[in-house]
Amino acid sequence: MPKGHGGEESWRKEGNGRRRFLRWIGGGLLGLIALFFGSMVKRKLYRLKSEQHPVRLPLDLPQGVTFHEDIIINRDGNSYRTMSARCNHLGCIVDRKEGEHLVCPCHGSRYSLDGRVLNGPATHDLVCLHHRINAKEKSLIIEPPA
Amino acid sequence: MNRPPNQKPSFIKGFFNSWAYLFPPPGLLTHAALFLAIGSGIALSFVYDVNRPFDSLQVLALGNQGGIFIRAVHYWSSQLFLVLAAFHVIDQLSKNGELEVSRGLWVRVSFIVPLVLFLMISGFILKGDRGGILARQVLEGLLGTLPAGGDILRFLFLGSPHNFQLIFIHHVATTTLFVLIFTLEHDGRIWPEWRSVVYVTACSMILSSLRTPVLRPEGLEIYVKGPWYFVGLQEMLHWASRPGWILVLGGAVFFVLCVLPLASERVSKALKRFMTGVFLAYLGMSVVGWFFRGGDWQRVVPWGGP
Repeated sequence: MPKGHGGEESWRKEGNGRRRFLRWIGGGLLGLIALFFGSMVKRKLYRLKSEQHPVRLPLDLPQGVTFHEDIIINRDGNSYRTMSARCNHLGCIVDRKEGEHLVCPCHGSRYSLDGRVLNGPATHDLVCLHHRINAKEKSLIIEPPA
Repeated sequence: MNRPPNQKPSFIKGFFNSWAYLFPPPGLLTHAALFLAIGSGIALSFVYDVNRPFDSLQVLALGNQGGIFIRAVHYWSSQLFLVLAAFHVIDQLSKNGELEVSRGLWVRVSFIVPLVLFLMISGFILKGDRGGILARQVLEGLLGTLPAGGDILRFLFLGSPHNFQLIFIHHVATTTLFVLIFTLEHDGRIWPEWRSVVYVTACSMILSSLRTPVLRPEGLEIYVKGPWYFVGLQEMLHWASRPGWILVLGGAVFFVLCVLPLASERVSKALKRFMTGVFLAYLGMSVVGWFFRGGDWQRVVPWGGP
């Protein structure tokens, strides 16, 4: 270490420069790690989304409302209405029928049996899901939400 | 930093004076409760199965009196930790405790509040019963309301929707570790004070022998109440068509808490009044949700029967 007043000052200056350099390197490394981490999480999210498959259910469902995981099927004769059971307020699964209403268990939003919102806090209807009927297999194939 | 450090409103002053006469300070008790919750949690983690959370707790409840007791101690020590931490915060804010630590430490200490809330709700979710599953759905939904990065945050906090692995890791490791580090740092000691340990352990054990926490299987109730400390939030969400604003309010309270030491005396008083107002409104909402809300989300009166 250089001795004397001027020596100490130049040493301090060098130290400050070194510290600033290390701070830049550290910040850059942290940024790189964050970037890698972000891309890893994004890829995982994409994979999770692409894992969703169509749901197959038998055609001989009971008349009226049936709950199946996060799907609601309302059968009227031979016509089917398929909806996502996720409440449009915060995404809770609507899995109860009370009289002529569907009720969200989390915050009490009410929907009609065909998914129209009747009472808040939800402000939108339940999302309709596309379905097709496979007559040969006697099954109802419901597409996952987009 | 020129505010006088000791100006308590008389009611709070009286309350904490009586407290000091009967018990160790809330901060020391909180420290002890944290250790007891961690110890009982470690014991519980050996039998907990992230792939079958509800079943593993059911098996524990059916076959093992010791296991039931440890789970109850974990539950009650966590509840005590939350309540005592709330008392500690009120005590410290009422005597301008934010001025007695460095600003950096105060910010880290402030982070304990959201971390503890996450610790509590993740514990509730990990039960894997109907209440836990719905709480998870609500938390996922709330994070999803964030305008940017909601999906990523949801995944970072709760992991894959098909299992409880990441929530478990956050509960037993990540969040607990941060809470422990920040607590030990601001407390200035590692091991809890022995008198506080005796108080908290005795209290948890008495409560555990009086009441065991219940598991609620699927398919029983229409309206599932959240944990008592989030019934107020549940009630607020019932009235909020745009739940993102509740997050904004929570974020504002947290921000105010972080910047308190920077404020002048007048501004600090106003900010504390704002936080007190939010806290009292939340208590009011909790009372409404707890006593005046019945099955199927109908309004009821507690003395009116079903």
